[in-house]
Amino acid sequence: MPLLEEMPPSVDATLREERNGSGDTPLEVAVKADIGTDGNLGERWVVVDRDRVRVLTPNGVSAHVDLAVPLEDIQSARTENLVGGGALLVGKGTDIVELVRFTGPLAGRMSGVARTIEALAKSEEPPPLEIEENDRNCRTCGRRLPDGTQVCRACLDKRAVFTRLFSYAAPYKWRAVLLVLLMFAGTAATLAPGKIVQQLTDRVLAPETASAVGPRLSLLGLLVAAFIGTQLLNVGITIARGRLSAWLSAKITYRIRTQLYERLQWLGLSYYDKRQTGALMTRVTQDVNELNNFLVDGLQILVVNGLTIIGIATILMLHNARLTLLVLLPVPLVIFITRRVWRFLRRRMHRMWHLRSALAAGLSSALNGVRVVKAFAQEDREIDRFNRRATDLYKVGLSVEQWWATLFPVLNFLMTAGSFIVWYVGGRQVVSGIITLGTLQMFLFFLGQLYGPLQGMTRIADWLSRALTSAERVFEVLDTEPDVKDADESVAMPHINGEIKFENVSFGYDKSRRILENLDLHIQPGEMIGLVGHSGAGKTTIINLISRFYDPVEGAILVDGVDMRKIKVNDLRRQMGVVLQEPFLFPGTIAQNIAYAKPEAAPEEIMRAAKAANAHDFIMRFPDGYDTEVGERGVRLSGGERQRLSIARAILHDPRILILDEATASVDTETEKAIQEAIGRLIAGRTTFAIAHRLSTLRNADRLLVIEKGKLAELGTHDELMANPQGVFRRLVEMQTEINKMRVY
Amino acid sequence: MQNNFQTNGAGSSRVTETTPEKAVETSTATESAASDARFDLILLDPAHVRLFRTGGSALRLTLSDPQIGSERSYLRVAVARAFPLSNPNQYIGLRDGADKDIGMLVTLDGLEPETRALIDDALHRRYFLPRVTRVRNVREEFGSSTWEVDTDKGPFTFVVRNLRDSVQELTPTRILITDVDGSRFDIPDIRKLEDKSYAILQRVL
Repeated sequence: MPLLEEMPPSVDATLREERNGSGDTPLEVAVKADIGTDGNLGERWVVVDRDRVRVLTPNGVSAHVDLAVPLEDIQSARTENLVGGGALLVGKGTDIVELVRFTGPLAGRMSGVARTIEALAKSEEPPPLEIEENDRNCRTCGRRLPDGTQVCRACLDKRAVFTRLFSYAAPYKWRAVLLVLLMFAGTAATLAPGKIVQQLTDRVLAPETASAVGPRLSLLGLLVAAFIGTQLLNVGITIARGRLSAWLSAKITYRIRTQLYERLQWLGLSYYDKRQTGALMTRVTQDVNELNNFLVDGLQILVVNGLTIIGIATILMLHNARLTLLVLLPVPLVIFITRRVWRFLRRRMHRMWHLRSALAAGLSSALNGVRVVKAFAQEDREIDRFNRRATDLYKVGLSVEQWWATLFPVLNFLMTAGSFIVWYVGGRQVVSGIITLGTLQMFLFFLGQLYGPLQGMTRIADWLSRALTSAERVFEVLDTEPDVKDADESVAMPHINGEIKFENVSFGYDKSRRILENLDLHIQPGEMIGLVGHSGAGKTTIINLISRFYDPVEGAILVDGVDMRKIKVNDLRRQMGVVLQEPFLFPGTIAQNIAYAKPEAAPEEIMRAAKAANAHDFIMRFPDGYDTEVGERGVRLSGGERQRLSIARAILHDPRILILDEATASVDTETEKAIQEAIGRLIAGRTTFAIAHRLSTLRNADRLLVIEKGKLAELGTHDELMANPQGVFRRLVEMQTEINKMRVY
Repeated sequence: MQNNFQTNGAGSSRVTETTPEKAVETSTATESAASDARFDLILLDPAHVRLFRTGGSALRLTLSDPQIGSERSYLRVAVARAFPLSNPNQYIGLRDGADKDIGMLVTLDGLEPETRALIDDALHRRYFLPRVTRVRNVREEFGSSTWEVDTDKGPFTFVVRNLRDSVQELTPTRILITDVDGSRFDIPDIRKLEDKSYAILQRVL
C-alpha cells in the first residue's frame, strides 16, 4: 500500500480518538503534505478511511484536525497545478474545498491520493497504485540519483564493476597477462638508470679510493652503454605496451559498444519514454569513450605510476631509510596543495567554458536570426550584447591565464622542495661519509622521477570513479530486459488476416494514471476505422497498443483470435505499417527510404509503390531521381513530399494492418488531395486505423471510433454518428465546418 | 465536462454562441463595453471588481459595468501574475473557471479591502517561490550539489545538478536556482545576503 506513510505519534493518537466511532476499518490513505496553512513549509497529513477525509496538523503531542469531510459529500477530487507546487481539491456539491497544498515533488503522489479519494467517494475500489519513486534517491545512502539511472556514484560496488569490466578481457587473456608483464618490465626499465647513475658516480667519476684511469674509463663505456641500453629497452617496452593496450581496449570497447547498441535496439518503447534520447546517446558515445580512455590511458597510468612510486620508495628505503623519510616528508603537503590548486583553477575554467559557450550560443542565434535583426533594425543592440559577452569572456579568460601562469611555477617549486632536503641532509651525510656521492645522485635522480607519478595519482580517485560510473551505466542498460518480448510459447503467424479484438483493455504509460479504461472493440479484417477524439483522449495510445509498442495493463488484444502477446513480435511488425504525421526519413537516397522495410525490393517495385503514392512524378523531377539524397545533408523535401514517400514505404511494405497517424495534418489542401488518393489506394484490403483531426479525412472510414477520456464514447458509421444530434462526433463535425467557413474568407 | 468543445469558458455567464465573424464586428463597432476578451486586452477598473469567497475555497468574481448598468458574475476565479518575476505586484490577471482571461488589473490599489485581501491571499497561494535568506552550506560531489538554505518559507535542502544550466541570472544580482525536481528558489539580491552566504555563493557560482 504505497499511500500509507508512517504517521508521527501525535497524528496517530489524535486520529485514533477521532475515528473512535468508525470502528477498525483500515486506513486507505495517510500521506504527508508539506505546505502548512500559512503557506510556509509545514507538515500536514491527509488521512482517508472509508468514512471521511481528514486533514491533520501535528501540534506537539496531539494533532489539530483542520478538516473532516465525509466521503458521501464528495463528488470529485483532483489536484490543481500551482506555481512551484500544487493543491489537493475536492468537489463538494457545487463548491470546491482545498484539503492541502504541497510542493512540486509531491505532485505525482498527490494525484494518486486524489484518484483514490474520488474512487472511494463513488464507492468504487481505489485504483491500484504503483507509484514509481524508487528511482529518485539511492536506497543505500539516500543521495539523489542522476536522471534515468539507478547507479549511485557513492555506493557503487567498485570491485564487482571492475571484475565485470575485466571479464571482457577474458578472451584475450594471454595478451592481458603480457601487458601486465610489460608494465612491470617498463617500470624496471625506468628505474634502472638511477642505479646506473649511482655506479657511474661512485666507481667512475668520484671513486672513494683513487684507482687506475684505464679500468674506470672502460667501466664508463660499459655504464653509458647500459644507460643507452635501458633507455632503448624502455622505448621498446613503451611502444609495445602502448600498442598492446590500445589493441585490447579497442577490442573491449568495441564489444561493449555493439552489445549496448544491440540492447538499445531491442528494448521496448516504454524504456525510451522514461529516458531522454540525449541521455541514451551519451551512454553509447561518451560513457563508452570514457571506458575506452580509462582502459587505454587511465589503467596504464594507474598501474605504471603506482609501480614506479612503490619501486622508488622501496629502493630508497633500502639505501637509507632516514633520508627517504625526510625526502617523503613534503609529499602529503604537495598532494594536498596540488589538489587545491586544481580545484581552484577548474572552477575558473568552468566559468570560462560557460561564458565561451554562452558567447557561441548568442552568436549562433543572432546570426541565424539575422533577418529579424535587420528587419527590426537592431544591429546596434546585437553588437552591444555581443560586446558585453566578449568582455566578460575576456576578463575571465585573462584571469584564468594569469592564475595559471602564477600557480604553476609555485607548484613546480613545491615539487622540488624534496630535493632541497636531499641536497642539505644528503649532502651532510656525504660529507660525513655515511653515504656515497653516488647514492646522493641516485636520490636526486629518483626524486625527479617521483613527483610526476605522484601528481598524476592525485586525480586518480576522480578518474576511477568516473570510469566506474560510466561502466555501471553501460552495464545497467545491458542488464535491462526488454518488456515487450516474445513469450516462450509464442506462435508464428506468417499471414495475418487483420481481425482485431480488444477485450476489456486498460492501459497507462505510468502505472498511476490510466489512459485507456476497459475498452472493448471488434474490428473485421480489411475494415477502416477512424479514431476521433480530443488530444489526450487516448487515440495514439490505442495505436501504440495495436503496434505492440506496449502491452495492455489489463485485458488482451487479439489478432485473428490469438492474444497479441503470444504472436512472434517480428511476424506481427512485419505485417504492420505506419504512416506518421511527421514521417522520419533516414539519411540515404529516396529509393533506400522507400525500401526501408524491404531492402531487397526491385526497382520496379519501388517505382510502383512511389507511383501509387503519388510520389513518382516529383521524384522524377529531381536531377538525381530516385538516387536523390534525403535526410540531414540531402535535399529538403516538403511536408507533403515526405508524407508521400512514407506512404510509398508503407505500400511497398504491404502490411496487413495499417496505421495512419495524422497522415495529412501538416499539408495544404491540394497536397492533401494527392495524399488522400494515395491513401485510398494504400488502404484497400487492409485493416486500417486512421487518426485525423481534420474529420473530412476520415470520410472513407467504414466505422468511426470516438474516444473520450480513455473510454469508448461512440462507434458507428459516419451517417449513424451524424444522425445523433447530441452525439460527440456530430458536434465536432459542426465545429469544424464553422472553422472551415471562416477559412474561406 | 461537455463544455470543452466550446472555445469560451464554462463558469462564465456570458453568451458564448456568437460566431467568430460576429464577434469581430461587435468589437470594432462598440469599443470598450462589448469588447471581446478573446481579442482585446481588457483592463479592469479596480473599483468595479469584487471578489467573494464561496463556502469552500473557491472565489466568485462580480464585475459591475456602469455603462451597461449590469453585473457579471464568474465562478471559480483564479488569479495569475503577468510578470511574476520582474513585476509581481502589477498586472494581475483574473481567470475564469475554464482558465480563460476575464481581464487584467494593472494595480491592486483601489480595490475594496476585502477583495484586495482575497487577491493577495490567492496570489500567495498560487506562487510558492521560496526566497533564500541564508545559504548554510553547499556540498559538491559527483557533479551535483546539495544546498542547505533558509528561506522565507522555511529551511530547504535541495539537490542541483549541472549548476550552470540551473542558475538563471535574472539581473546581475538576482538569481533563480532550479533543483532536480524543478522546484525553484529565488535569491532576490545576492549582495544582501550575509557574508558567509555570499562567500559560499561566490565559491560555487
